[in-house]
Amino acid sequence: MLVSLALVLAQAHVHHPAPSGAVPSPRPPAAAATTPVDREIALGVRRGLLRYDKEVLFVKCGDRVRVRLTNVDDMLHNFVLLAADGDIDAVSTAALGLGAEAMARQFVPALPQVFAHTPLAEPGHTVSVDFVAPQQPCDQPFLCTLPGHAATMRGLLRVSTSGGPLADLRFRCLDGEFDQLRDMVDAEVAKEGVVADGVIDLGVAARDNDFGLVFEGRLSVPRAGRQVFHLDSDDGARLSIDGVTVVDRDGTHPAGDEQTGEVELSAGEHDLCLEYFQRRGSMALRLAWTSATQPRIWLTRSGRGDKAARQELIVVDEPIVQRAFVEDGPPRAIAVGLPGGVSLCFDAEHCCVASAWRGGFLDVGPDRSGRGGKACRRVGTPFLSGDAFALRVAGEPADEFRAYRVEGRGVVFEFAAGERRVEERLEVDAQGSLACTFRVSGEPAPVELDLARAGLRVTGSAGTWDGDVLRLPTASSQRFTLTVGVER
Amino acid sequence: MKCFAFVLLGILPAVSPGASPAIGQDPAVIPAGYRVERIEVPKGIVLEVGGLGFADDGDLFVCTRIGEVWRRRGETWSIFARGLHEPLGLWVDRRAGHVYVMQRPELTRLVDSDADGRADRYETVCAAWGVSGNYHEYAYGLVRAPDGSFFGTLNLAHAIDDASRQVLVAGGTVMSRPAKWRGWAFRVAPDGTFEPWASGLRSPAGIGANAAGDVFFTDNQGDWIGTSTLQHLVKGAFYGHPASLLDHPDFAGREPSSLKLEDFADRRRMPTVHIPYGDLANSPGDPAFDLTGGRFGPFADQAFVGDQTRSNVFRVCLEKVGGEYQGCCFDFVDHLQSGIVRACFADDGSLYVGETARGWGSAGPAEYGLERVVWDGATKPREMHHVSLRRDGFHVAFTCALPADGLAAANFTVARWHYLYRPEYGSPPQDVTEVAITAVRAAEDGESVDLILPEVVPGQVYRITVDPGLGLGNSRAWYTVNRLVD
Repeated sequence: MLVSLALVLAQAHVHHPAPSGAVPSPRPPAAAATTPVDREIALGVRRGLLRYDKEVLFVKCGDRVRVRLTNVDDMLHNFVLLAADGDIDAVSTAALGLGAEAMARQFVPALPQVFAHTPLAEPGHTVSVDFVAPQQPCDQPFLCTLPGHAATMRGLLRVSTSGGPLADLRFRCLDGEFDQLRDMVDAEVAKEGVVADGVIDLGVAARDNDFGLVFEGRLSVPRAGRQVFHLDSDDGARLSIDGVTVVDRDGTHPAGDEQTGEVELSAGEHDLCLEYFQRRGSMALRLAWTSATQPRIWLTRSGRGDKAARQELIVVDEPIVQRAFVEDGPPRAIAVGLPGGVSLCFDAEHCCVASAWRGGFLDVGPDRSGRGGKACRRVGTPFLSGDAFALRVAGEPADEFRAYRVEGRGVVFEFAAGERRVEERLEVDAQGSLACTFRVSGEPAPVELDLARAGLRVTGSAGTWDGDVLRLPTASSQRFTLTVGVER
Repeated sequence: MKCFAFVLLGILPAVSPGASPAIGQDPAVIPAGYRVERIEVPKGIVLEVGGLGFADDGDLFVCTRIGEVWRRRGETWSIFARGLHEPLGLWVDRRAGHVYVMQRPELTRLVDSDADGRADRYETVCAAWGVSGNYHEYAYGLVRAPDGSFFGTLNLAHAIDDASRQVLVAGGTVMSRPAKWRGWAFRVAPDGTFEPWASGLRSPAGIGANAAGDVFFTDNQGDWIGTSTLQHLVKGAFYGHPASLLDHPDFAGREPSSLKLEDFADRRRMPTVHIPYGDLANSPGDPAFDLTGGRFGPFADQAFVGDQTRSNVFRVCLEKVGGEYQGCCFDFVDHLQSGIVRACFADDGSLYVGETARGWGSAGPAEYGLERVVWDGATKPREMHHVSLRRDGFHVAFTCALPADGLAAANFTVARWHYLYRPEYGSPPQDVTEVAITAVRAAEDGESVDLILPEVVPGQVYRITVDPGLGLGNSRAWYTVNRLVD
């Protein structure tokens, strides 16, 4: 047994291929690579999660662009770019309707709104597509048209005059012991310059302590409307647009308390100014931008002392157990990611499964960023909720949690119901279902077990159902298995 | 046998030191004969220290805020356990070989039943306290008594609109008790039974025991805590933060809104030692008592406490006056690389400090790490050794003889003040008063001096400052007077 887990810092676009070497090296791109382009974008997929590794791409108006899609997944994917007014749902529905033609047409429907697309990328391979970006700023949606993928595999190509989130971005770095942003007013400028790629970056200061930074650039707003900005910093920072303060996080403080501010902006360019200072110790600067029509766009680069907010635990071939607060979970939660694409949250107070989901496992970023202690996010689609498998033996509830252990591809929880000891083993069986095997020791007694069965395919190795309660007579109550089918 | 290889940013069978973080700085203040050494942490291990402990064979166990337990044997690091819920306390059971960790929701025994070097059973010892899911509900530990019982402390929650906050919110309090026993110190008996031990705690981040087996904890400044404290843990005591009283039997059935300051003010046990905010520490962690028998220098039985914000280690001497502990704190080492929450003496007599800054900020620039303070075994530091209360003033003892002409009144200044007990965050020093020294009586050997004062006022913190011209490494001391010498 070799591998237990790999930690993926998804936001930093770090991939850790399966250590078994199961993922072949990406094949070099085809002949197209010889044609020069203005911008080449390396796009990946997050293994097993049905997501691209980047969901907002930036290009400059009129650029010759090449998108290279590298597929480290074990299923097929593609990259289909739509015209500015393209409708992701309409295109993915049309792709579904291709039927028998689908493979021959690379799962791409013949629709005028399809602007460009790659061929199918087989697992372990890289494909690419070249196109020329429109001459006018706009947002072009993109998606994977393989059946069912577009629900999560989608994103936005932003075409702008700068080719980045901000145009003409400049910085000034000031030296001094600042406790408030206003302390920077009379400070001497230590250095200044241009940030060529239009991404705000603390690294330009090349300092650890006692400095200030002022970034000024132009923000290109594609559609008029309410814009929301999210600012988090260590120490103080303030965002202004067209000279008006939008978010103010002045003073010395740690990061981890993101503040938002809203402003109505017309379509077109607006002046953006971000002031920041660092006193001592750790530092961070994060600024993101959202609106009703766009996903979160980061205007800052994550860097030193600024850990990616999203940190996903990836299950490979052994279960991962992580105790933490979990989204919609009980305070005494034990999150378990099982090999086979099923994860669950066990309630160590009531000795039952609080929820289960299929897909990925857990984003522990909320527990490991800033002060932490926030509920970790489930990665995937919930299929079971509401204290499943709550057990009573001889009428006594299981309410004394004792221990857990990892055993092979499963996890075993040990607890007591009255005088009797119970072991509950959870694993994914050969059919991909969640199998839950109970062993009850002590003097044999009848067992009852609750499971809200609505919408589930549940089979029990013994017992009879009485509504959502499975009743096991004494004769069959010492060892039994419940299997919950997991839709894929 | 299970192979205990693991993956962390690649495949590493066990991790040996790689590039150490090139951050940190030399201590600006350190007594002569002491040095600070950085323990190299291999790249890829996020060693945000939550607990430290040594095994009989010298192996160091470290639990981290992201829920891992690492074992350091010589220069090699290996994983012992992972997946824990922000453990902030660790105890190595040297006899049985188990490791106990204080997780947010429970005290857990980590058992390596197949002796392959990695825990394979995670056994719940006690989970009797309430957890609501608030990020500030930390559980700290661990002290183990000779009878096998454990002591730990439970942080209040932060800014939750529950009943305990409503009562007091008029006064501005922010910490609250959304679940049972928050703000209590507790004992877990060897059979796992939970016993609430004392109430009134706020953010009690550190715990330790002295040579006599008496347990002490630190609490962080905030609402109802005028400045950070070191407290002697006494069964049944109330240390001042009222949110915890909702679980106190004497207040059972009381409407929170009926709880008034006069109902609990008289119950408050005064801090054993006030730790002046800003001057000495802002957020103290473990008190590690020097039980090394002199291998850490001349400060036997004194406590060494690391501070999260200031990234320093300060020193505390205690004495019993009128049957109760009170004492004095001193600067010791400043400018460590990151915020310190844990401190623990190794068998070789050096003091290990475990560090983390994430989310809280620290003066030291590193995000996390491990350092140790070592005495060279020979050099006599030039420091105040301890301060004792006398009927007519203070007895200040030094670690070495000072020249007779230095032990004059002109070389000492004394000031006193007190702190407010109030719902607002912290308290500035109140009524700061310079105290004229009536007389100075130097000992013949030059190793101590008695500072005679016109009067000694209980309920006051006395700051004694020694003129830098005397060449002490650290020249400030703060003595908390609760009781007077008969």
